[in-house]
Amino acid sequence: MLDIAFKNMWQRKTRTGLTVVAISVCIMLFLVLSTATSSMDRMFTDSKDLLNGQMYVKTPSTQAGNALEFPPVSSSLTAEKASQLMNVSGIDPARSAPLLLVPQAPSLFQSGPPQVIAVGIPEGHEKAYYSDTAFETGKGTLNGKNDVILGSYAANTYYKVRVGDTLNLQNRNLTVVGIAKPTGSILVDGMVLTPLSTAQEIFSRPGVSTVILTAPSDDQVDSLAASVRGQFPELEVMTQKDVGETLNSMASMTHTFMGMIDLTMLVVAGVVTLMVMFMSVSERTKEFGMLRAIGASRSKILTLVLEESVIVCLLGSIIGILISFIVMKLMFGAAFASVDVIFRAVIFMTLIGIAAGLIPAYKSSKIQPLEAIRYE
Amino acid sequence: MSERQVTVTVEKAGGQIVLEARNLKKSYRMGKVTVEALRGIDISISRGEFVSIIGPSGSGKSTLLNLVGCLDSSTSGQVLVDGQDVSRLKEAALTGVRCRKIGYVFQKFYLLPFLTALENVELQSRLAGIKDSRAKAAEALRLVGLEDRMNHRPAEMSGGEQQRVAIARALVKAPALLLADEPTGNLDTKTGDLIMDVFRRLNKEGLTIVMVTHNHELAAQTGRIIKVRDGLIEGA
Repeated sequence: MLDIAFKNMWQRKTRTGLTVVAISVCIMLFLVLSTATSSMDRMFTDSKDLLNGQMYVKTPSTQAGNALEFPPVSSSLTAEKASQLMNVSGIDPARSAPLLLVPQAPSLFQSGPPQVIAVGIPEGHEKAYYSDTAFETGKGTLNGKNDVILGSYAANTYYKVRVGDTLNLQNRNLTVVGIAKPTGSILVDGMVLTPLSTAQEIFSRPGVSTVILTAPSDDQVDSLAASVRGQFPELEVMTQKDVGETLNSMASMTHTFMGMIDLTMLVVAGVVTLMVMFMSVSERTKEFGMLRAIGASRSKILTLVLEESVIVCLLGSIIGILISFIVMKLMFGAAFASVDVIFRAVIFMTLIGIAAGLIPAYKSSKIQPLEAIRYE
Repeated sequence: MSERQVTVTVEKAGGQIVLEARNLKKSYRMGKVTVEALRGIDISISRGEFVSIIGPSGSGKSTLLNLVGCLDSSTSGQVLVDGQDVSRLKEAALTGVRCRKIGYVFQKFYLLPFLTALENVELQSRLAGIKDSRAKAAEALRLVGLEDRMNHRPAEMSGGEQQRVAIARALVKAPALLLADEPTGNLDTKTGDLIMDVFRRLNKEGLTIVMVTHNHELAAQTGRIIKVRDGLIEGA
């Protein structure tokens, strides 16, 4: 009956096409959203891991919603306060630094870290920000006032520049001296690292955003944090643990949000597929009656519908997967989706499609051939 | 699907009873009213006969045809097709009877619109499990004079041609009897006569045909006329 199924679908091109489109759009949305959520998770985890033994000292947030902000771009410290913090005893001075943070490209996710962020940092303290990140080309130190070091995403995807190129940042020409290897951390991959004084000039900000402090060893983090909290009660200290919690709560907010969209989308996808399949099979009651009259068994008719449903759903799924790869390439610069997610999406849509086809087909194959023929 | 060897030419035989109805009754419920469409019908049709069933509309003639054709189930009574009691058969067994023993020709043709003439006929021969289904389908179409129109879809054919495809579809499985419900009802007189010619020729070759019509002229061309009125055989 497979040839009959194909001929029927070919004859009813518009309807088959619409069903395939509906299914492929649903699959595409599902894949893109699921992949965005999981890639966001990965970036949060990688960013958190990079903060080994470090803490951010920042001003308290003025708005309740900003309590979750990471990195603390809206914090603001005077130069004087920053230098007092750098003189706290028990820090590793080479891996501690005042930072001026200015987002350059918004976050991909609700309340997530910016995709590209300008970071002003005193020369010689660069590692305080990017830690042990390796460099693809150039070097990881800022020697000149107009030097700039870029993260891999900022250089390759956002600005599309190479070492030696000139980068114009708010009308100031900077020379790219180093490009970091991809780390998976949104903080490093999206960094635009310039000398602190240069950043202060470019953005007309005399102070800094935050001070990043590093304890000489991991077991001294808590005592250092306590000592800073004691000396500067007006400021807030975010240790790796706090950052982790912040990132987790950001991630969970985004999860809830994405999850709701994902769920709504799946329900809509399911309902649309059910409706289209249900309508298209129901209107063929007469045809099934005719087939029954000339001797087609009920199982033959169910097989015919089953074959059509599976073909349409698989076709829709394949097209949906291809479109989702194109969309992901445009959105994230790379096409990726786990086999697991693809598998789940295809199985879900196919099951819906089969159920949507088989239920009305079962009903119409059950009525007497005569009634089915007379059905209008 | 088991395969059968059949020849499309109809077998010659006579005398033997191919279709029998005994005290056949059918009633419908329409709201609170019970309508008795058939009130006890007895008929017996021998192999090789060409019988027409006539009667005014609402007399029950189509109901009778549908019951003996296993398209509908009776309220009581018996139907024997080719000696087999089909009145209490399960659905799967009835499908087999419809598929192999009875050929149908409907007033509205009921061809699949997305298949060509040849494919429509071939589908029937495949359902009936006939070997060389395509060759047999082509043979059946030649028998009704449609060898030139085999690869046309129903929408590209005239009413008469579509009805001949439907006849070829009924013939391809070499049925024990052919049932036709107002086969010329949707056709003009000239085309209707053409269809009647086909029927008469097939009957001459031995095919048993039962035709429902309200056209007395057409009925007069058949071997025997059964008159149905108010759910009973007139004169019985």
